[in-house]
Amino acid sequence: MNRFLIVFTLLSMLLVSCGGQPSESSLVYGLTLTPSGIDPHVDASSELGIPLTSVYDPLVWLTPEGEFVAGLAEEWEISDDGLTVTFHLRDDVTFHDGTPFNAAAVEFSLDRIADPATRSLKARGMLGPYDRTEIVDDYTVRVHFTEPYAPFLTSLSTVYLAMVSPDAVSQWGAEYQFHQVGTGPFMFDEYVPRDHLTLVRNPDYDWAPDFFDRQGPPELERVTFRFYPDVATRALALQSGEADVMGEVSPQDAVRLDQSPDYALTPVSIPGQPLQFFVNTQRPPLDDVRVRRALIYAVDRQAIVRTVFKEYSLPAYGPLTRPTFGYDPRVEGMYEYDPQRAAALLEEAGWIDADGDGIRQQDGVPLRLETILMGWGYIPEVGQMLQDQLRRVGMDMDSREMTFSNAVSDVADGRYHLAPFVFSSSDPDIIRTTFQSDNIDGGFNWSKFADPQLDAWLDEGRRAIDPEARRAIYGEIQHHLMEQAVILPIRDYVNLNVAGAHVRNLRYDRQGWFPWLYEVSLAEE
Amino acid sequence: MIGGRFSIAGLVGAVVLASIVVGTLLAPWLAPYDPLAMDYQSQFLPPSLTHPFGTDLFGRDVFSRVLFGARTSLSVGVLAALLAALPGLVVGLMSGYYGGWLDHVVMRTTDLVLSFPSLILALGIVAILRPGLVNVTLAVGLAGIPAYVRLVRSSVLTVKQELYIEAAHAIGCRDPRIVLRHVFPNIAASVLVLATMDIAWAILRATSLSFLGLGAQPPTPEWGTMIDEGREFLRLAPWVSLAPSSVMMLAVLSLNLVGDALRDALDPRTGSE
Repeated sequence: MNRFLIVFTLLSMLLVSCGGQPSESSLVYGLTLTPSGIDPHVDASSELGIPLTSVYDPLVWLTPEGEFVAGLAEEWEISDDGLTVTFHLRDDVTFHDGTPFNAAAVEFSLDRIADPATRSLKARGMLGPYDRTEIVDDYTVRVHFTEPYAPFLTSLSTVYLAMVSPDAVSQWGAEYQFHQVGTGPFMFDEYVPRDHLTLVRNPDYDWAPDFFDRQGPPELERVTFRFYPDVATRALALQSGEADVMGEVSPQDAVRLDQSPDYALTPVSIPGQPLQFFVNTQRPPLDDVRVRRALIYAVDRQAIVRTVFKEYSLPAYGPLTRPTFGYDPRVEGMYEYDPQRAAALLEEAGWIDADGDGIRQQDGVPLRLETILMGWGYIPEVGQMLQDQLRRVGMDMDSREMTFSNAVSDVADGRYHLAPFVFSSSDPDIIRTTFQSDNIDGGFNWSKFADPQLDAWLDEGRRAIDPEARRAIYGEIQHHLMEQAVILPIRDYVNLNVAGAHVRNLRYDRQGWFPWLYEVSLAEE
Repeated sequence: MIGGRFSIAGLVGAVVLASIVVGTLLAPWLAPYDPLAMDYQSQFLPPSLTHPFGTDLFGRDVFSRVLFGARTSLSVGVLAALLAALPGLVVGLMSGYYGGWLDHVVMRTTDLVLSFPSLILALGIVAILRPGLVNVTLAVGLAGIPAYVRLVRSSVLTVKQELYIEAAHAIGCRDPRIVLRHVFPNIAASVLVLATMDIAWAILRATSLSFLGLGAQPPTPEWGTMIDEGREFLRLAPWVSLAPSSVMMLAVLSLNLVGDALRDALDPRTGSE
């Protein structure tokens, strides 16, 4: 009897799900990696921001054109000394759980990030020299810094500095990542790690910024995120109709899907640092700037991009990508592909192929570069092309693919000449992480480049509140880093997102990673 | 010694195996292209007369790479099998012949190692030693030792009961002489059979590790890394993965056929009638 009941129930459920149901406006979005944690104040992955950007509203929005416009804060003033920023908040916003959004919520959110107990991996760094938040009145806050911090508004526009519901955080504590509550157009519904994450429409949403082409609640009723860590399965999931949108398909698949009228490809350039190989400037022969320059001249970045990344990526020429604030196009002419020049520089530095085996030597030591490779982002493929191209100018390259943790320990021991990495970031201040001399030991200064002038510029760039002055400083920095040839830039990082043609109005924010699902609608089929 | 008892399947296996080995040895003369030479313009050309197995992402000739890859993969397989067989043989002989506490320790140790999935064991060894072909050979070899120890020991235990061993003892032969002259020749056949099969097994293990990025490092042509390199382009250019996989399948299959045939020919107990 019991068994019969179960079968009957299952059957009826099946029937209901087949027919009857009103056509719900629902979207499936393919994510590339299953994040280890998804609390934006705590965790660091870019993937977490793809769903959560729709759960939270920022205090200030950064428009696609790079302007700051009102979000949860209607207006703001930066003090002349750059040490305080005063925000006047909207008074008509409520969190998904009914908690009113006010000055206390801002203070709570920023203090939560700054609290060492939160163990923030990313947000704390983005908050810079934060001191405290002062509540002026219910809808006015003043944020204090210990020194001027230019990237603050950019940081605030990202999901990592999200305004969270104080009630929800106190209720759930460490479990908050599974029960997130913001003020955004979508409400967090459910997160089952490694399986799916679901958002549902916030019917009360009525505070969208003006630059969106709609107001009120979003059109989509439900968005489900599923995980496709294996790149070979992504295009398949899209073509089988399992997913409506897919992040980061392979360039080869992108070419194929781009030719089909059933799919729309959105390549998005990511601000921050390009795919680059850090050049270990402390290890011979790369302590000689001539050898470092020869290395860059010897690499045909156009060919690498054409072969591996296809027409969607641009070759990188400096430490910042094109959409990054402060990008200086002057670096583009600095190292055109020129193998003859590379060979001449190597000869000048005393590297000559005396025994005719195709590899140059000096005092009997062959010119060989030990290279760390990592298994993502087509780094192994790039590595093979580098090997081929460097050999053509008489440099031998020995490569080894390893996990991130092994790479970190090899870097700590100095056992490498070249090591790759990509940092995406909303602000050029990211290059402090990779080039400030403090970060040589245990940090990400994998070029092991120490330069007091550069350190001073990096500090100055972080403090300069005036955008034009800031741009000038970062221009100097980029030029200087390339003159010293401390990195081998390869390509600007581009995410190849593909959506079915029925998905309308899919745009990405200026960070490139995060879709504005609020605007998305689905065409009738 | 093998004579007419060698089966047809065994013959076919032997012929295929021999041609793969010859192709491997003559790779530098047979390969139409340099296996490392990139030609960016010829990306993913389908199989044709100029490129029998097509070209890969970098426009390299897949046929030449498969040929040179066979050198790497086969030699890793043979070396790893030797690396497993020699220590396994010595330890198994001692353990079986002398018995006692030595046997006890050896058997418990092999039990322990055998209770561990061998691929995981090899993975662990490579993770400690760091990736690379040499370390993969070592890891696959080490992980294969216990199988030999067990086989050799049990064969020794049987042989030890034989009358001629007792006779050798009786006429005052010393242990080393008995082990080498009387025990070893009588178990050599089964070791040879196991070794043949083991080469196939070692090739599979080593290519698996290379497939996972732990073995041969680019641009060294090796079957496992080649299969991995083509995996992402399976729909676009299936030949990049299929060519090395098929040749590897042939190599492993023929090794197994030859192994089976050897066993049938050499071992009267399991022979077909």
